[in-house]
Amino acid sequence: MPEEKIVLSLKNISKKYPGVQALDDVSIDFREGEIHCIIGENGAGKSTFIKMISGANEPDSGTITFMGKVYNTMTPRLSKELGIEVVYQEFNLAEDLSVAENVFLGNEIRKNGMADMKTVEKKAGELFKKMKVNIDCRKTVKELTVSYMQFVEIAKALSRNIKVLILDEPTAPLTEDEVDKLLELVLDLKRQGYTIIYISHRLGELFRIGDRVTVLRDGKKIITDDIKNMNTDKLIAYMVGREMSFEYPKRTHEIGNVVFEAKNIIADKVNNISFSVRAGEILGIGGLVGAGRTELIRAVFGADIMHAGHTYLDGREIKIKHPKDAVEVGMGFVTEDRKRQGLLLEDSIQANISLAILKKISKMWVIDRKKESEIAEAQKEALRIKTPSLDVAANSLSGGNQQKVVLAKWLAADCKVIFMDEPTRGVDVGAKQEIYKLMNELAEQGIAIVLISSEMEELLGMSERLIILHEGNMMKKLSKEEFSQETVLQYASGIQ
Amino acid sequence: MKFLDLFKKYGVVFILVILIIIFTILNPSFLTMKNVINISKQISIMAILSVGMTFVLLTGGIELSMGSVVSLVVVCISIFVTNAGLPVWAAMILSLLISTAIGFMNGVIIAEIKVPPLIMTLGMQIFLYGFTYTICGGLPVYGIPASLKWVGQTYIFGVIPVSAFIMAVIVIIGYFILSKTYLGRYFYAIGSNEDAATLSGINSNRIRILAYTFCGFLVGVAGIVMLGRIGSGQPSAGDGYEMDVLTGCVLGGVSLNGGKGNIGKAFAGILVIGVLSNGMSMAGMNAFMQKMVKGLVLILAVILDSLQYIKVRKKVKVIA
Repeated sequence: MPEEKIVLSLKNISKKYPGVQALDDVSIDFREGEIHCIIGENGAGKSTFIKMISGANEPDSGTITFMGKVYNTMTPRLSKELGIEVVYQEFNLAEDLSVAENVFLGNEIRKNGMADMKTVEKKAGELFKKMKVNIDCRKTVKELTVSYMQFVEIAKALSRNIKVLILDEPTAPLTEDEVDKLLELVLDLKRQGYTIIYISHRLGELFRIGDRVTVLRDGKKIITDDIKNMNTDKLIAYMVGREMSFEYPKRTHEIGNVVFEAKNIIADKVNNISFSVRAGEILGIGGLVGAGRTELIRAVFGADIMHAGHTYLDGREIKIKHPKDAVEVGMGFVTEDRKRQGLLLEDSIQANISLAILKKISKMWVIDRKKESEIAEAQKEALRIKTPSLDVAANSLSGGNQQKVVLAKWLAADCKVIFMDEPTRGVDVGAKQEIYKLMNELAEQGIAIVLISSEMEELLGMSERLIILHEGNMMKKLSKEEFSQETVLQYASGIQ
Repeated sequence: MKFLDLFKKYGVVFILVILIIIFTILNPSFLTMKNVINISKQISIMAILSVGMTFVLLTGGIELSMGSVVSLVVVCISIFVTNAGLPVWAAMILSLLISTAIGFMNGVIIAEIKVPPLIMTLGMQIFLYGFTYTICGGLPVYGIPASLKWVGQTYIFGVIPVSAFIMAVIVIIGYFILSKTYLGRYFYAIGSNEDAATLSGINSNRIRILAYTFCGFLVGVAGIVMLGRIGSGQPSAGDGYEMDVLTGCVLGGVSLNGGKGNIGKAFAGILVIGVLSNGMSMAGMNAFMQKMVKGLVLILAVILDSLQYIKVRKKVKVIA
């Protein structure tokens, strides 16, 4: 094999944040035209690594070489000028502008000083044709599904004269068939000569598209190797630093009586849905993005308006008009987006854990600090939250540990039923397994759990029973014996 | 970099010390017992207002109508006592009810109808300004009984001004609520992440309304102290106070974005404003020059608040 041409190369990059060495002497070469996957647990340094290349942040030491030129640091502007683009997990789209306008946002095509919409639309059209994506360029972005927004982001990157495209967890918000489409596109871009840096938690994808893979752990580079020399077990071992086989923990405990029941729930995007969950049971809710799963839970939890329907806890009807009512009767909600809806990011871990029980641990309005720290300490132990102290801010933790803090909040509140919306999103393999174990422990203690998940394996692996939604309607109830990926997909797609 | 961190944390204290040194040099009688007591009287109204302002700022809001409400309270009590012949205590309670109700109204409209706090309270400020002048016919109300002036003009044990004593009580209560009670924690929580707070079972609308209502009550107290100090129903009594209070709070590190700050530091910020006003007067600066300085200090305070989000970057060097 001839010597590969190196496009981008990081040498001895180190970066320290207060209290954590995010990158420690990391050197990686990226070859022209390869798909180079970066994996690692949360907190391994992947995001910091991207920031070094995109110029969003700067290294403490080390150099970045691009096409033979050596730089001490990047800036967002320089990185763009050199032809490096990042598509982040969170989209940066102007929702009220059209697809075409978004593609050329910040890079406007002008004619006599005026925006030239015709050319913009034509050029955007050509771009999508090249990407083999069928999309109406005149639609506004907010009319699109998540996967198409993702394509718009990629088109936006491609519209600039780029050499290196960095994709940060591009498949995280996508459903299984959308993932296929995206991977297809990524392979196609490689054929067109782009160098792609692909960051993902989903190991399966790496084997489908990757040429080489680099594993990061605790800010250090563990290995870079051809993907064909790897397998899942090996990768996981490199990531966690120990051999570990991935499996869903088995449950043997008894299932109790019905704890929570929802009857004929009608809300926005939710059309007459009923379900119940028993003590010690995990009920899964399946469906594609937009099927109304989150909306259903938000409605019964009082976070959104419930137009009609009844809810029962331990057989007694409960009236829930506000999440406050739900929390008071013993319901908990681990939200999909922990940063925006789950945590007080800048507040201490302790303040986050005690948030839902402050009133309970107060006497005459005064918080019993001793009790508060005892409870937080106990939860930290029980959930194995990795932190030097309970006083540090929640945003200093890795994703998996942040999620544990959210769980701790509800466990501290002695919940009878906990709704978990994508509890392992953006969480690495090791932490995932731990969260599954915790869910089992909770079920064993007799807590009823309702699980929403877009990951098929997780949904099938963790649930006792499933309900499948499609466009706000209940399609099917499945018991464990009837579980299969095909059945779930069939009903989730609306096929009877 | 190290200095910047230190400055962010203790900047107010630093500024305070420097101001005291400068003013003492300019006028040696600045640092006398008499003047210190004088300053404590002058800042008492601002400090009481700052407690209310801090509550509101923590929830991510702002309260710009407090100056007008102080004027309204001053005029209302005067009219109740002189024209309507109400006993002093009844006039006070009635006025406190009015200011609390105004705070409640601000809160309800901001929390339930989602009118931006800046617009709501600014509108209220303008409306009440006009309203106050209308009810007193544009003229000050005279003939206030001595018992009302007691609040502003008497000393406990002959040294501590009653107004400073009231201020101390309110600052301590405010500190206690924010740092010890669960309600206090709720104010911080909805200011830092309203969604997360709501989903954790906090009725954020109710807490927000409570912040404005409590603030309204404190504005009423400040109005009573104000009337005691000036001794007549001046419809312009509270003009411009909201800006001084806001400057003090932000200078003390209460964030305009909500969720951050505490009463102690807000009080330090108010001290800076108080020392600044008093010192400038004693140094013989006229009102217009004082305005210029105060405007600059407000901008400086907000710059300090924003500074924490700015990072110093390396320069790009092409090494080879």
